[in-house]
Amino acid sequence: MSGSPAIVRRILLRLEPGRGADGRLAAAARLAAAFHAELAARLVADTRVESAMAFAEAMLKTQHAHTTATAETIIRRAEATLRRSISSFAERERAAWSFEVVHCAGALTSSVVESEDLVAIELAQLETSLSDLREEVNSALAQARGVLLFPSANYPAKGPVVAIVPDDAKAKILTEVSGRIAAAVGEQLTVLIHGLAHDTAGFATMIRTRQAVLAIADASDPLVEEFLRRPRFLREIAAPLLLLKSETMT
Amino acid sequence: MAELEHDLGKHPRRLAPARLRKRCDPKTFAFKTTAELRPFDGLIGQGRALEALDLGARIDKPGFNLFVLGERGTSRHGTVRGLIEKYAAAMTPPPDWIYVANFAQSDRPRAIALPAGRAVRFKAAMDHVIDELLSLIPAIFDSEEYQTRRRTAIEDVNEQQEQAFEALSKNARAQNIALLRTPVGFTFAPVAEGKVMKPEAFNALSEDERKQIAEKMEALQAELTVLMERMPGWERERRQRVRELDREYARLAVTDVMRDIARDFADLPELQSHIQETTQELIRHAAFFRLATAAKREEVMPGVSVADIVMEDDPRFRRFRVNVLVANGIKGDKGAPVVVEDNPSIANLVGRIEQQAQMGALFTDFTLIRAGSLHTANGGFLLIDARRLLLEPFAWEMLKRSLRARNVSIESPMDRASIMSTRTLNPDPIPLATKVVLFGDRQLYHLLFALDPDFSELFKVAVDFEDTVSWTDAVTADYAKLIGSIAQHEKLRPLTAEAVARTIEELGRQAEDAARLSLHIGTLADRLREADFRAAEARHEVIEVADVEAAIAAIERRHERVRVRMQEMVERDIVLIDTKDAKVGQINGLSVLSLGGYSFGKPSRITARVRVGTGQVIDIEREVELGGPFHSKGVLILSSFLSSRYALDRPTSLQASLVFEQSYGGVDGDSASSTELYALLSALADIPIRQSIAVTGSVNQRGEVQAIGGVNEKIEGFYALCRARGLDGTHGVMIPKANEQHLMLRPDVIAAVEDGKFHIFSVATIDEGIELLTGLAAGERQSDGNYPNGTINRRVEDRLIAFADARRKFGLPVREGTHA
Repeated sequence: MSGSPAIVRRILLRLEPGRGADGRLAAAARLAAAFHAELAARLVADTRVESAMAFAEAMLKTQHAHTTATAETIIRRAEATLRRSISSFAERERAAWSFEVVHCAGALTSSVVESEDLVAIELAQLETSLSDLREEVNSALAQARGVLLFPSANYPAKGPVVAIVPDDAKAKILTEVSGRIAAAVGEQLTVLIHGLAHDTAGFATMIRTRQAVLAIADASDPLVEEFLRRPRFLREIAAPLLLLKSETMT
Repeated sequence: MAELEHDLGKHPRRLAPARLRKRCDPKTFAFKTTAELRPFDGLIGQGRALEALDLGARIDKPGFNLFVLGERGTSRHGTVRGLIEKYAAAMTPPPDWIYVANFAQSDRPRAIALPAGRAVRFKAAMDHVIDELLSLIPAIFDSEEYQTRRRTAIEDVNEQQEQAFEALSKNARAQNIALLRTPVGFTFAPVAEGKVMKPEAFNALSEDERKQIAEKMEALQAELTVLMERMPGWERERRQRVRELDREYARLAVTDVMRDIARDFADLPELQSHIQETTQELIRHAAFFRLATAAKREEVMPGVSVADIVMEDDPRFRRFRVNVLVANGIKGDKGAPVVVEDNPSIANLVGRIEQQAQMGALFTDFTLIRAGSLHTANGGFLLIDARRLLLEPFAWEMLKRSLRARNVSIESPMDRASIMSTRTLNPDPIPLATKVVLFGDRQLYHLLFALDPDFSELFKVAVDFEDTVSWTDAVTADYAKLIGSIAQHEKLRPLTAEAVARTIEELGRQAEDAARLSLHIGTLADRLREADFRAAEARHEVIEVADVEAAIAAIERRHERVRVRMQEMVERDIVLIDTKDAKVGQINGLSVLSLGGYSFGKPSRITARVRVGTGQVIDIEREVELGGPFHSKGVLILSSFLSSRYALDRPTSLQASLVFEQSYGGVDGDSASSTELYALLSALADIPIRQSIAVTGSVNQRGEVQAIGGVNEKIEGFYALCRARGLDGTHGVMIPKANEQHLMLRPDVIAAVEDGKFHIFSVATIDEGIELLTGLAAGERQSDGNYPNGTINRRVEDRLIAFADARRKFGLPVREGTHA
């Protein structure tokens, strides 16, 4: 990411069956086109879920046992629907794309993630396991160049790119990178500087009021840690949040 | 018959020309033309009516409504309206009335009274409020502050939910159990070495281990169930928090905008209550204003507010409208209203609830309530023509009900007739303080009084307009002023004193009374207008006598077509009327025909035939059902006169028949009863009657001749025929003495009398009359019980005795009394 946005080879979009994906597909496709990157959509067949459902049905005879749709069936249905959507959005943005079903136990495995990827993760309307979310984000950051978080919201089609910049030495680099990304997506850059004592909720609201098409932050920024600890702030931002690793920016 | 040759000009019953018309002497006037007179703003001869009107207009008690009765043309409407307007102008303006929504019961709109002139201001203020809120509420709810607080309120609950799940997830993880969201919901699965255990791995565990895991999962499942059960509660809480926030912001907007209106109408407690309810309702339904789309705003035309469009189209906003039912004093009007209802249908009286078609269905609400004249006249006067009112279905009953209940309830005629019953509104009745003034003729008044028991309770004040007034010098002077005022008001030429006198005399003719003047001011005004027209044609500066007479003559000519045609038939001997010589059992009677407001006298030949019979006088008119009851009564009276006067010791053995010759229409009234009696006496006595003298008058059982109506027309009718045939001094009319005072004959008739070519005689008894007609003495019964020989009465009695003897000779049964 230090040079041209083109060094992001793929935007790896994690998709799960049963969730609407149009909003983030559109946003991800637009970013992919802007970065000259491939939109790599991956429908995750969570092996944990498959095991859990099988376990529930076979061993516990719980109330889920009577559900007719197996995990496999659900995946197949979702695959057909998503393929159509992805091709549609990608072609509209003239972005290269690929689509596969991958089997992972929770977070995307290293076999799926590449080092030049941006891993796009959709946030639930309500998170039921924050530790899982943090684990997934950390895992993606460990394997890829960054993470693109899609909070559950309607994203504006036009608006500035907002750089969330800490009031320290890293600010300059993040601002520069954000500027390049803004130029790539053809939008203005707005830089919002936060101090340590900043009210997180107020800052999230400040970002939202900018109606940004994309917010960018350093993944190691303590503010990001606060965002991940309380997903309400991510929802409050109401824009895709790109978390970049410090080392990839230098 | 030698007596018939007497000079009628010297007959003692003949009336001198001076008695044939009362004159109005122009020399008594102190002006040359009416231009010199001051306008007359009084009312002639209506003292009684004015007194009643004053009482009715001022008394503030139930049931003291007015019924103005009198003949058409007496200026009742104009006069009463003018006076009522004066009373009304001095009264306090009544309150305005509005209908507003009843938020608790939408089908019962509330009626609220406001001081005069303030209803329109209140409506404008409410429209302004809505207009303001249509801008303010969306702005407030779009504000960053509201959006942030709303998201915060939602996220606070979301976070509680997330934390609860996180705690459960943590607890499960601590026990090596994973909480997983599957496409079909949450589930638990055992974890080994950080991975979810497959069923086969689980089965490979010992029974104790499996049991332990199962117990843990069961406990966790119970916790999850509790959590899931809390989900609707969290959702409710989210909604509740948003709702409270919305109300808080709506309250800010609404109270701010309503503050002015509450202050401006703080003196009206009932309205304050509505304002408070409206405020609460606006706060509760602020979402309506948020949904009023931008599209509505784009529709706005210059000069039209968004409120106008939104409130017109959207029933949710119409609830906040104000329906001004009655607005008083909006144009600076002072005093109480005076409303003339020309079309007193039920809807026009008590108002109506209109309906609007929307999407193929009819709907209504309080904004579609329309006022009736009882509403608009509330606190003042409502003037209605009684006949029109009675002709409108249900209107009379509804008016009575409103007056009885002292309120106005709007009711559909359809519902009342049970023709169609749809769900509609039941608006608050409005207290009624209207004074109703009905106009009608006397017959209608008396019919209502007799047949409707409510009438006397609800219309206690009869304002009875006189048709005529005594002809005194003072009245003459007032009339002169009134004529001058009419001329001035109507922009007519002034009248000379002579023209005024001639006009007043015509009022006497119109009253058919030499002692009274007509009060038909409408007719008088018409006559003056026409006289002015004639004056203009004659290039007169003022209206002269000639102009008045020309107008009178023209009016006569316009109406006399039928009279002329009828007279023509007589002149051509198609209708047989003798005006010379003498005939037995034949006489000229006089009747009056009224057609289209024009009356004229018409001579009719009446004949009588007698023979032996059973005591019957047959009224042929009655036998063929052409005779009315009063005519029959007259015939019975003359029969009674005959049987009680002649041959008292013998049964009546007369069979007589009486007929109006060549009469093909109905005959009524008893004014020909004396005439018929003369014909009968002539037939019985076999004495001829002068055909040159026509007769009118009724008779009683004692042989007294009584007054009749239309005496002038009758005389003039016979005069016209005789003049056409040639007056030779033998012609005349015999009238009852009591009618002398009614004589107001045309000048040309009087001129003929003055020349001795025509005569007017008056008689008080049948004896006087028969003597004049036959030239023979009637004769008085003498001490021997007989009438003198050669007299009419003797000949009649002898004839009746002869009939009785003849009847006895034939041995026929004798019936006492007579029969007509």
